[in-house]
Amino acid sequence: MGDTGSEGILEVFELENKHVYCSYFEEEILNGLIKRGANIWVDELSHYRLLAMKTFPELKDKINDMNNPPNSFDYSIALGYKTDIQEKHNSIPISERIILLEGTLRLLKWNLFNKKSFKKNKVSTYSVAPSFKNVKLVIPEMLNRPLERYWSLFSKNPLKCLKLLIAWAIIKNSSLRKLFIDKIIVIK
Amino acid sequence: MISSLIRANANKSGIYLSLIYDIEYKPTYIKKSASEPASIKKLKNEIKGVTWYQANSEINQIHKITELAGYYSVFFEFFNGKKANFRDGYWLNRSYIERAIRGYCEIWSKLSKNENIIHGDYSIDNIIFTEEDLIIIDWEHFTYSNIPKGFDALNLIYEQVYILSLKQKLSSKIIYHANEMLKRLKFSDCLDKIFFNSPLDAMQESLSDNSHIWGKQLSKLPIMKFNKFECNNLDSKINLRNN
Repeated sequence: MGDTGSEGILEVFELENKHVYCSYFEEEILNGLIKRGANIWVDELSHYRLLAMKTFPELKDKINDMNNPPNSFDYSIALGYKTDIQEKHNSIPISERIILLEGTLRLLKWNLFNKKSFKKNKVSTYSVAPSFKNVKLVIPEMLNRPLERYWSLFSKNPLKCLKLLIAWAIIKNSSLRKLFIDKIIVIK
Repeated sequence: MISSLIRANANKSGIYLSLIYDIEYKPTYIKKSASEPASIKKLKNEIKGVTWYQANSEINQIHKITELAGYYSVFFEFFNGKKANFRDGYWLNRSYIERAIRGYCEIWSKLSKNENIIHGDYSIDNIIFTEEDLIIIDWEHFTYSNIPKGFDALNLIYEQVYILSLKQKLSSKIIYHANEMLKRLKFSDCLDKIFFNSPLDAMQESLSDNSHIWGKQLSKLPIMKFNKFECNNLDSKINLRNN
């Protein structure tokens, strides 16, 4: 649904002065991380760093490359499981791995295969309520709070409306919500 | 601590609202944050208001402030208490209104005549009622203004009158009760003379003259939704002309 592509999701984390490894470049997320006081590391070989430097020249000391990694990371952020850190760096300890899961396929893969590899108390899951543009609501799954419809249904794109209507029906049911609504997974 | 984002860009303010829970999932703090200059300015104004309120009520709402380049966040204490249902309207909320007026008088009666300070959104929705006390929240529109004393209290009264008027005709008992509230404000020295004769008309005028405080939200305020006829009609019934 593309809902996780907004800095709103960062509000559920404490990021000031934290060391964050970012394995993908999403302008708003990167911008959001820097604004919230995080020190970011991106892969030196990827084009992400170049893009990041171009976007935030004044904050270049906040964006580091992996030639000079820290002893440990507080967080890593990745789009999808198993894409969060390159193999050659996987000896660096990461306190919490934040994984953004968008789309039914990624969610199914996570629920059917990956989730089992972790103890229950090591994984926190957040549901991201569907919306047209920006993230409006991110709720820890443990809270079991009913998700409400936090978006307007007025859009020029009828397909988008239909998609959101379906999503709305899904979030009403807690079991379906676990399977089909975008998630933020935090692995400790 | 566990967080949940409960609202982003509420009323197009650009402010993120999050709830912070303890390990037993009990709400502990409310976090408001902003990452755009305009919304940071709004949030800082709210802190001014909360600080002023703290100095006048000894209620501390702020737990922690973080200020970074391009980001501002505030952890507010979470208060357990009751909130009135805004949509219930005047009559069902009358006991809350009475407490809200009393609470208003406790603070604003301390101010000198020249000290014109408004909360700017003194609504039944922005008050938490604890067993003995009340806590005024959401100071986003806090302003040192030229708006006379009593404005906020009248805003709360007429807002609830408006909500009720959408559902039913205003009965004499409601008019009587609203008049009693006005009297209470006057005798607590919390109502400027300008509001004595035609309070609603004077309210609308104050709002229009100070539209910069509310910006685009002005036309959405319940007070502004009374038309001229309704305004005159209410002013002929709710006033302090003979008091």
